[in-house]
Amino acid sequence: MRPLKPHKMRPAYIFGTTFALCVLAVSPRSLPAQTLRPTQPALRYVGTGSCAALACHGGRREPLGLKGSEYSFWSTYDPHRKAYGVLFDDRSKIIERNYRRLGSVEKAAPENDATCLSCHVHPNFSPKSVEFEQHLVADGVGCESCHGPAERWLSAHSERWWKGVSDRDKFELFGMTPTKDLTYRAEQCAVCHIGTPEAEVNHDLIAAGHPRLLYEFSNQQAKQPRHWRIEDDKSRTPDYEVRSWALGQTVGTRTSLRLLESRAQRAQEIHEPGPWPEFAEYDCYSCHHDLKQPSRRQDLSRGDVKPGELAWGDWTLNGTRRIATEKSFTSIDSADSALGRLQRLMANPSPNASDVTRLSRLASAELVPLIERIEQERFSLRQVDGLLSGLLRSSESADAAEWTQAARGYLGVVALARARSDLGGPALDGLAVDRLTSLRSSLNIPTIRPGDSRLVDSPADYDPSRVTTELRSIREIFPR
Amino acid sequence: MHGRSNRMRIAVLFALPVVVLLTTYALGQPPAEPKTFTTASSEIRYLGSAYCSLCHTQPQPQLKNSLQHVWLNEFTTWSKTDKHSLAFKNLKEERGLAMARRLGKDVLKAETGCLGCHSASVAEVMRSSTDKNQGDAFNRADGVSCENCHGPGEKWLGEHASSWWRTKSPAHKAELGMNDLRSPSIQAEKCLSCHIGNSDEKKVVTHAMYAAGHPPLPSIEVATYGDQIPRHWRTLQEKRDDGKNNPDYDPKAVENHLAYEGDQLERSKLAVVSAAIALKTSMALLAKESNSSAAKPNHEDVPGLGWPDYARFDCTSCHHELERPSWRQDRGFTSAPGRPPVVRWPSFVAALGVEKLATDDPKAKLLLEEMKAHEAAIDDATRAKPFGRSEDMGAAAAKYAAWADGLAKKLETSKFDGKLVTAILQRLVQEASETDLDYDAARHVGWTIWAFRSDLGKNLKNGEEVDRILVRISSELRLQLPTGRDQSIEKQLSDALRTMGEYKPTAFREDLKSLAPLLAP
Repeated sequence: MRPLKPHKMRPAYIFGTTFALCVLAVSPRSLPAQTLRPTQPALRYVGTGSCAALACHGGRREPLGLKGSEYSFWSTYDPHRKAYGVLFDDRSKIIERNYRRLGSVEKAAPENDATCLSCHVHPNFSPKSVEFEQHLVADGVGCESCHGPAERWLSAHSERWWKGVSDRDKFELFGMTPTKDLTYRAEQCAVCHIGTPEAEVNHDLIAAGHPRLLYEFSNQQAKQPRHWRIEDDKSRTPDYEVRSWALGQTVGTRTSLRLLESRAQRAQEIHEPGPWPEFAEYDCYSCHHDLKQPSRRQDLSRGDVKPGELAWGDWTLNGTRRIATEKSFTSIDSADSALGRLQRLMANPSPNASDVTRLSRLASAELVPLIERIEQERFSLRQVDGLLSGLLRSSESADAAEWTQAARGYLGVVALARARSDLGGPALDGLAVDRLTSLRSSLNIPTIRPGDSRLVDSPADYDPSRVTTELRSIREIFPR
Repeated sequence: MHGRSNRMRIAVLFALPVVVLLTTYALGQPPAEPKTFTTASSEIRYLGSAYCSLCHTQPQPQLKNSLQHVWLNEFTTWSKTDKHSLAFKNLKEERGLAMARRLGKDVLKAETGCLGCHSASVAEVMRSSTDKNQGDAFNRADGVSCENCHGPGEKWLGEHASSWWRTKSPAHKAELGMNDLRSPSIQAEKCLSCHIGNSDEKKVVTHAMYAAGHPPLPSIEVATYGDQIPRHWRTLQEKRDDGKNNPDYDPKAVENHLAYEGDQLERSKLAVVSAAIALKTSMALLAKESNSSAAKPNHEDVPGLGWPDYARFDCTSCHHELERPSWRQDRGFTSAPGRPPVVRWPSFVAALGVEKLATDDPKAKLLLEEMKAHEAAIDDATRAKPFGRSEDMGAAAAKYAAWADGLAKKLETSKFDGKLVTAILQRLVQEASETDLDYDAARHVGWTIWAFRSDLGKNLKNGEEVDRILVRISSELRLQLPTGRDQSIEKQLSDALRTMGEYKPTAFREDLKSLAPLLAP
């Protein structure tokens, strides 16, 4: 974990800390401060109702980012609001029936299933306390799902001294997630959008009908109806766009590796081993495509991947490797790195789970110094250009340009193009926007195939040669 | 061209001793049959189709006593019109070469695993391990030739040309290495050893081979497929009539033919017996691979032969575009979501065989319970983890294979007449209309319905209306097979795969629902 910034001692802060320690001392659940983590389920969630007062965060919701309107804005525009409600849909019932092998939709109650609620409410949600927290369940992914359980900080955070408390202390003493810190923020989103050992979307659940997870921190933030001001993000870190893209890639890879480690570990348990091989780890479209003749896939040459083997890490690895190269951690990009060896191992139809456990642990450890470097070092325009050209070249590299890699490449280019203008680079001209728009439409799914009424949720008509050409034409826009 | 001239040269070279040998048999007396028989040994040598061509293309004067049994065009029919004679040649065509490139393997080498089905790797293996085959006329370029189906000819070649051969029992012929292809189960075994697979005979298509370009092995209904082969044999009905009507026939030979009860509906019987054998073959293959996995996680030679080999599972369970809405998810899963089922398309028609036995003998109802238990054991192993827990799968599949073999034996000795076939046709349509079958199972059912229907001929009521629906089913499921050497898979594959991808079980069920009332008693 990154070192936290040193803080100035202010009188209000000293008072606040003392107050907090007093609270801890009298609390029946009191724990030594240093072991208190916000992930401890001991902390109580108070519900969005406590945030919603007109005078607090429930003020008028327009315009966007208006202080005091956060709750109203979230509850009106943010899809996280519907996370619980969606469990009552027919589709959710079908997913539950399939996943729990219930036989009939009537028996399905996803709204009571701990696995669902761990992301559709919050990761520490305990179904045993459903009655106790009934009024909170309905919030879906509410304020505390991201900001942390408010038991200790609800009243404190409106006090004047609160601003003087360090992020670390807010986190460790009070249980509030430092969402202003992009590493924490990226991890916080990844808890549900990639998954943790406690809350994951595995292939069983996807096959039952749950959408697959595709974590893209930078662009998902850009798309999300935001109840905070991006100007504030940018004033904290002027290289906000590239930083959030880079942290999204690397933190995302690290979270994925931790999840893989836990999956491989559970696969080795003697009693009720977890599913293995875990196909959610792979590119869906490695297997999920109609069989066709002629088949472009049969003539793909993908390094070490032999005919009939699976592509692992297509969504996760490329961006991280480009960042590693740009930040002079070239070892991460080599075939001998833990990541390289893991990728080779994972191509097996049934990779050895204990080897995967070991290598994924090593590989996520390999990323720690890289993430620290990103946190400590400001990105320059020159580095952004280096990332752009590396990303484009790797995404277009001839026949390796499967949809997943190309789509991730496109999203990276869009994020980095935003970053360039923030760092003083010229804004994209009309031609550049046209080319990016055209690439976007080439990558678009779902597609309806000509003469066919099927609504296809996979890139059935994907044309790698066209996308490769478009990627190449986009490379011309940016300096080399 | 080279292959053929080579073959002819060898044929000429060996013609003389063979003719001498055959003449000896032709003039001699029948040897006494041994008291006990064992199954044909794999030690028996393959001689090569050049030997067969000597008599099966033109009459040999010294063998005129046997001529009533020979059409003289068997060899030519096979070599000129039957696709099986192209099996080896195809390895050297565009697709074979592309597969070799993608796999990084020489597809013509025995250890790569292609020759098992595209030629005869058993012979190849023997050839490399001993010298005793050196100098014979076996030519792997013959592809799937005479002895691949009829059995290696070393011990029976001479005797089978004799006038007394027809009077010999099938057991005697089996002892000499000849397969009794009149038996539905033996015929099915031979066909399915390639068309499904057989590890012992080194006939296995792996997922790596598919991924490198091998066309998917479709489900197969042996009677319908057999009808599409340019025929170089007579049906059991024809053989029986030959025997009855020809005063020159040795009575013992007639007796042998009658043992196969030519008055039965032989296509229907073959369809049901071969379904049981298909179940046995696929389970045996599964058992062999899942049991061997622990010892050999990565096979050295045959590309991709480690457990799980995805080729043992239903292709379209994984290979389909992701769709919204998804009929698979709406339908629900008999096994479990994300746990693809093993290749088990034969079991639906095999279950019909159990029902058939139960109509003969109420005690046979127990078989249905046994079958359900075997299916459940396979399901449990499949559910345990994605692509199954190999230990459980191996044990369950081995037991199921043995059971299916027993079922085939029972069916082989039971009678299939018009009344019975009418009844099981009705039952098959009814049950299939109530089940969501996967593509392979649906086609197997479709072909089986065709086999029953064509056996019943004019005796089927509402025949015309039934045929109209069957024609529709046939076009929806592409039941028409690409027959003849000019109908290459290369021309068909693209459309065949599209049909496979677009298949939805509900459409087939609707067709069968409209068929069911027409067949009601």
